[in-house]
Amino acid sequence: MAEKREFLTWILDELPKLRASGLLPEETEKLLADHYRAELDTLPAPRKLFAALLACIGIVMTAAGIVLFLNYNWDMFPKALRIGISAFPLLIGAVLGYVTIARAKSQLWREASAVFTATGAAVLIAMLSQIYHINGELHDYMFLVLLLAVPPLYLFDSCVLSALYVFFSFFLVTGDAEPWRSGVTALCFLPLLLAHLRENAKCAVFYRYLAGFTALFALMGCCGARYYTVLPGMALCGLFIVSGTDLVGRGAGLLKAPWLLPAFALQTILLAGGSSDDGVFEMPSRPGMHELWVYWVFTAAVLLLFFLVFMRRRLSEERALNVLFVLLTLIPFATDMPVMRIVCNVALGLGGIICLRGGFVRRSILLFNGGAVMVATLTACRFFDAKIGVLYRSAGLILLGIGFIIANVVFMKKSGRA
Amino acid sequence: MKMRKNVQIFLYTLSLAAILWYPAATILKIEFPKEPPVEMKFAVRAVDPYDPLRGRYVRLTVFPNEIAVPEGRKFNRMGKVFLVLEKKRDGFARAVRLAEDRGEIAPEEIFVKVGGVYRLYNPKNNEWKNAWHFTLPFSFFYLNELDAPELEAELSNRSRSTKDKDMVLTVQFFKDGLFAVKKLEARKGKK
Repeated sequence: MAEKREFLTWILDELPKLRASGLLPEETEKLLADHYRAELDTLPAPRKLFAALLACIGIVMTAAGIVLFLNYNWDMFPKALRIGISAFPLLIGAVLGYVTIARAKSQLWREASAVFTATGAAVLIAMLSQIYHINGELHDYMFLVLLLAVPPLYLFDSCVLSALYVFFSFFLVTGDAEPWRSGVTALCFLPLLLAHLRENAKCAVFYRYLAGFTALFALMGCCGARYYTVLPGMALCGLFIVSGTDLVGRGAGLLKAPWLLPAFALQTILLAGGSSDDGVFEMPSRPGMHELWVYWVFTAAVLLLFFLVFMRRRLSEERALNVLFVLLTLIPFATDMPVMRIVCNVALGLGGIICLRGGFVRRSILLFNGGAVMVATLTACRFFDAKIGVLYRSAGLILLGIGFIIANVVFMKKSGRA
Repeated sequence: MKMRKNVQIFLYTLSLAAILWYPAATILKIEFPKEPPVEMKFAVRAVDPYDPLRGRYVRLTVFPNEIAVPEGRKFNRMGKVFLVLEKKRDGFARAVRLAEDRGEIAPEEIFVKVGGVYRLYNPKNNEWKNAWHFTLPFSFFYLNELDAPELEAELSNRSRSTKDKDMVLTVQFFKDGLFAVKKLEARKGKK
């Protein structure tokens, strides 16, 4: 926002100079100035943002004070009054909601309506359980509140409520919460998320950040440590790497493709872990079918999304590498033999070489660095690997070092010719 | 999302109705039950008496929290487990049996969903017992801010003494596993 403001101010300063130097006719200068001035006016002024922030802090502090005051006097009120007070935030939300819809108010109103309606519902249910001493599990309560937040979320298309929804979804990821609840919660949010992830959608970058957290929550909730989490985990890494590289390819910076680097890091860590320890790709003891179906539905959904994103662009070796890594995670389903250490070593080395080559050929520093990180990780893992003899390690490292020196010489010569 | 104003208002009204349905149903079930609730008493031990947000409340360990089961019977720790309860002559609750399926529970039986289900282990002879632990869900009791210090002192004394289970929690049980905690008091009628 600040960048855009600076840019618009700069261009408005430049226009008279361009007219004075005869590069721009007076009429065009006036039209351009009107256009950019109107655009500048639509941006929120920093002072307005500061005032809004102060107002928010004031409201939160007042609300906290009221909560504590009511807390002190709470048991002195009759039950009906306590229920009435509990319903008050929801009432505010309802009034705001109706006004927002009826008068087609701005996005700020839509955000406030969505948040007040959902938090009003949460407060009412929580206070009711306090009034009647109906204790229960936090994840039961949170699941109910999240389900009730879905209609306002879609009706008001709220970014703030989306963020709250994703944040509070993590409360479902507890040891005794049923995995299907996490699946349902993620599924309810998925259509809104996908709609906002389209390139020209409103708040697309914000929802890209939320997408990663949603994936993380769904992975933890539907699979957790109980199942073979490596398969959906690797598929999610592939999904975010492929979609992230597509975004970067279209000119987006790494901050606008936020999950590319974390997904790549996680993928490399999984492979590095697998190359050192058989336990990483070990199948856990199989739980009952009534829990396993959630895992398979989630894994199938992730694989389908990965496939759809993968098929959108032309096939390249680096893109295919992500599919290969997902396929490798299926090996433990076929055999109990401890082959995954060797497989991961080969995969990490192969991936590194392919990315290095791709980066070199296409002059992509990102790809080249990715390859270098993979090779360096593999080298570091093997350097500290006590299972390999010192002599073999030293021979391997010398060969690798010479390879790098030769590659560097070739690279410099080709660069010199170019 | 482009939608006509009337449709939006209709959908928003529906969502508000959905939000209000749960509290309204709960209030109706508790205030105007079809059948009178069954009141049972539980021996409790109290700990952790203050929370900056929720104010004065006590966290309770409720008894009974163990039950013997037939040999070979197992329960899924991650799934739903229900405890069937029975009222004894003195008004206290007795744990009858654990059930994983609502179908195993007769309509007239009082039951409640329990958590913290695990099989008990005897470390002396390294054997699993034919008994399971469970945690009853009424683990909080909110206190009146003015009465709280007195009760907290009482609870604190009792927790330190040998009569540490000498507090009584009265709970009302409705149909369909719904319950509401009624009161927490000293067993000998002293608060």
